[in-house]
Amino acid sequence: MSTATTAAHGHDSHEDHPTGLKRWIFTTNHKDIGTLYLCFSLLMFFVGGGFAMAIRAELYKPDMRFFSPEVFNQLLTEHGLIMIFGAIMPGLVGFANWMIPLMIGAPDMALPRLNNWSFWILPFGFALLIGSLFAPGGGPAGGWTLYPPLSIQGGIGTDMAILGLQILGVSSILGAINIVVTVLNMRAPGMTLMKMPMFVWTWLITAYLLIAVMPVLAGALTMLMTDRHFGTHFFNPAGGGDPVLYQHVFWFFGHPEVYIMILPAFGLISEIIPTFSRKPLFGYTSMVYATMSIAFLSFIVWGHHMFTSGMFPTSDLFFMYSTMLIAVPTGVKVFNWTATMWRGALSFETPMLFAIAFLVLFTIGGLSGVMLAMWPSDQQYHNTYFVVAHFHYVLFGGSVMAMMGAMYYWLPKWTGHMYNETLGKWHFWLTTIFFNVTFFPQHFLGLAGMPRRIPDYALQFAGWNQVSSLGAFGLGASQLLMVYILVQTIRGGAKAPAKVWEDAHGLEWTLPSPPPYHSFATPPKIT
Amino acid sequence: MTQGTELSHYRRMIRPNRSLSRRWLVAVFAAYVVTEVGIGVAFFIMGAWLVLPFAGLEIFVIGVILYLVSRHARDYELIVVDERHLKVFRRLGRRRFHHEFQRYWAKISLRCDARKWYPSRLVVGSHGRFVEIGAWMEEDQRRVLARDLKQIIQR
Repeated sequence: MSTATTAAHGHDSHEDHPTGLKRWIFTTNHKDIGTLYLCFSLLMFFVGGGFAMAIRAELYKPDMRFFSPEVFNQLLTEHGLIMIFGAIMPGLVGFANWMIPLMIGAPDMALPRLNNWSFWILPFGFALLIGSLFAPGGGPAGGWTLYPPLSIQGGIGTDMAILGLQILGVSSILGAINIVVTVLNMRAPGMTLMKMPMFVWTWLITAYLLIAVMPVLAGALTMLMTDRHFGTHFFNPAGGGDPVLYQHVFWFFGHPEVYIMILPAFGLISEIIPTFSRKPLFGYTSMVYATMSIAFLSFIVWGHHMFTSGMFPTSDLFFMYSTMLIAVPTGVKVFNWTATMWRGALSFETPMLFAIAFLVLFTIGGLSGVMLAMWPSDQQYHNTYFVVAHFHYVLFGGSVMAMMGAMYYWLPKWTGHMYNETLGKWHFWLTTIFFNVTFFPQHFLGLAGMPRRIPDYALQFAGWNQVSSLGAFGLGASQLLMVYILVQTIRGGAKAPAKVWEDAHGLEWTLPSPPPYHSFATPPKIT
Repeated sequence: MTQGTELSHYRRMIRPNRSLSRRWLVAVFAAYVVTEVGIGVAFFIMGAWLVLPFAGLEIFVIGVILYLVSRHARDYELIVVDERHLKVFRRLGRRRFHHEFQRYWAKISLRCDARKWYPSRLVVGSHGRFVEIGAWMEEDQRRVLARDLKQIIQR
């Protein structure tokens, strides 16, 4: 007679198929969770972007009075935190969730339930972060770096923001562990590490970075909290603490964080450029080692954010040279992308346009980074709008443009519909032009001495600030076109084939568009 | 997957794909321990000692997750049909299951999702007791397995 128990033992049981809202809350499917991350990122992009519009309205001309200086500082702080932790990081995790299992031939992420939790703690973190603006005394106002003593002086809103950031940190750590385990344990037979797509490689390295530095952020935030409420004096000079120690701790996290935001973008670009150049990626191996080198160097350059804090000159020199060293592997990457395009049969669909813009804009940001890395000249640039221009060229011109390009690249795969190419190109040109109108003049403002994080400025800076603000309003409005294109593509359009782009390579293109809800239940063989 | 078929006997081993060897798993964990402890101790010496407990907590979480992953490294599903029985042996982590059905009474049922949104489920059993098999396989392979099993038990 049978000794069997019921089918509930099937650990991969798909008996219960929640639909509607429950599907999204309880889903453990990597495509669903990827979609959730991407939608969340888009929402935060508009929230953070809304704050940016408010900031640029205040800076449109001198003596504007839309906001009090206190509220301006809060908007500035929240803009930075939301764009970094809400728009860019979740966006890149969304791409990872959607694409990594498809690219390595895995049926799902290695830890699907953990994946669900990683996403669903995000909204709570952001509720605290954004809710802090409505707390008595307002939100944090010390900039995204939360430097003490400003962050020690804030009200309960600062506590809410710190707690929110801790929650976001937990989400990032869990997401990163999941990516590492997925990439290492669930690759299809034959897919050796050196056969992995560059996007997977960059995420593997990024996840390592994330896991390495997140406890540092957690420690820094906890010490801020204990300084605020438990009578410790880690960073409070009034009690013998050292605010510069916070800067060391924060930037040990903060600089790798910059690479956490740009390395996956490198991976995205490394997928797009070969497809539209109709050539394999030039120097794949050197790309992998360059990514590893950048990740390693990111641990030893944090001091360049603190050149004016009074470190020993030997430390300044060390950080200057180590920072300039990063230009070498980064240069390898830029060279390889350019060499991939060299004598390729190029075509200029929207993803490729974004990739080329990335190449140009990121290089501009990289070169201004080399200028900032020079300790003597940084004494002039530090805390000016030159820095603001630099990191927007890296983060918007780099990470965000790469994500936009990748969105157009894989949107037909995700939805099964082709997007409107004409509108996509309009979106590209409007974004690129308005981005440069917004941020290029900020180089001039910074070199002329306009400090960052101020709600008002001297009359001499008025002209370029007006140009920058007009560009920002155009840039913000252009993104509404992206939403229209997205909605239009999701709702319908020309049917997309499995291989959307004729010279695209990779396992994701072997699946139909859209891919089945459960794909690669048995791994494909890679030859 | 391994498979062996004789005249009236059938034996099929199904394993999920695992690309991380135990040696690599230990190496990955060691890399994280060295990195985290190094960073934590460095900040401890600088006075920011609260980084160290968080580093330790993270090492603990990574350790637990890698341990759970390693426990599933040897999962398998062995389906054996002999003259009298259809047997399903299964290992999931540390748990082992053994299901045995009389071959004459055994039913093979492939339950498909009407919307084709979810994969089909292949269940075998009898007398109201069923067990799912082939959940690690892809759709086509699961259909072939269902067909093979039906043919074998009807011989």
